[in-house]
Amino acid sequence: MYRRHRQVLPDFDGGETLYLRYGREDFVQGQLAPAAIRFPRTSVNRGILSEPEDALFAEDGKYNGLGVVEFKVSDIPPTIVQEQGPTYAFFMQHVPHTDNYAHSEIWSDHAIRTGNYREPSKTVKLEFRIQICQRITKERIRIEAVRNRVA
Amino acid sequence: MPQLVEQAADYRPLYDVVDQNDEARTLHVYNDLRCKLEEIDRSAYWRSKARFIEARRRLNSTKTLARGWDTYGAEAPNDMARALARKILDALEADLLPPTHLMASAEGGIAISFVEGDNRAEIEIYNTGEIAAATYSGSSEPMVWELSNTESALKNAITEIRVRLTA
Repeated sequence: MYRRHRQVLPDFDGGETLYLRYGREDFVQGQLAPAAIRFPRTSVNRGILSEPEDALFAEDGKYNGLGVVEFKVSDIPPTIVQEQGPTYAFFMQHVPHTDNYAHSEIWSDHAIRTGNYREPSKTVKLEFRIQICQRITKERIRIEAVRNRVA
Repeated sequence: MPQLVEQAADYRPLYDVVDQNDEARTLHVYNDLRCKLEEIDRSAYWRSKARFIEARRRLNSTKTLARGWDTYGAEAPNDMARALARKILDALEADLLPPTHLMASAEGGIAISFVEGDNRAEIEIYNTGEIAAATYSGSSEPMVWELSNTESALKNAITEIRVRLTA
């Protein structure tokens, strides 16, 4: 899990698995609730660099009892078009932490790429989160949560 | 025939032998049926009431959340989001549209969810005072819109959500 001076791996394959922590009450009738995903730079772990349980790793054990769901890079909507306002593109960034080499983030930018992170409007973010959650059903649970996110 | 009457007696009160034009007996069956329907109606009312009680309990419990409650650094819901959520719950209750779930949103605020079979809807109330609503079904593209904090906008959103949920 530790980075140990390893390089950033910028390329993501569409079939690559991503892991996300969740709490026991984050599923609503068989589907992850959009409110369970935070959009500015959604944190996930890369499947090619980690196992599901690594998403629960903390030296102080603070994530013990939480669960892990998986989804694919290809589940991320590439763009969201607004009737009024710019079209946003969504893409993966590998952002390793010292204690979590697999840590990555979902970023957004204008469809005509500026190369920077651009924060979309609340409605675009809600649509983005719903589209991800439409794919995260109970079958995508890799580790079942036994407690809520707030202990 | 006597055998049938005997069998019917075994299945009371589900089955009863009613003579033609026997008003006293048909009235009895009618009253029984009416009572049962009223019971079903009352239980739907209490189910709806229970969902609002649970939603308000969950809303109050968000007061204890601190920044980072979601383990990914989310803001805790603030008093403005809670007050707006309370107002929306009141409007939903007046319109008899109970939520399926209420939880803190990792976006910073409160989320109210509705599920009816394959159809879903969300109302998200943010700490900034902004409100967004969405309806979606299965894997189809969601319909998302911004909601102004006015009675008429809220009423229209509730109507839209009800229509989409029952579609």
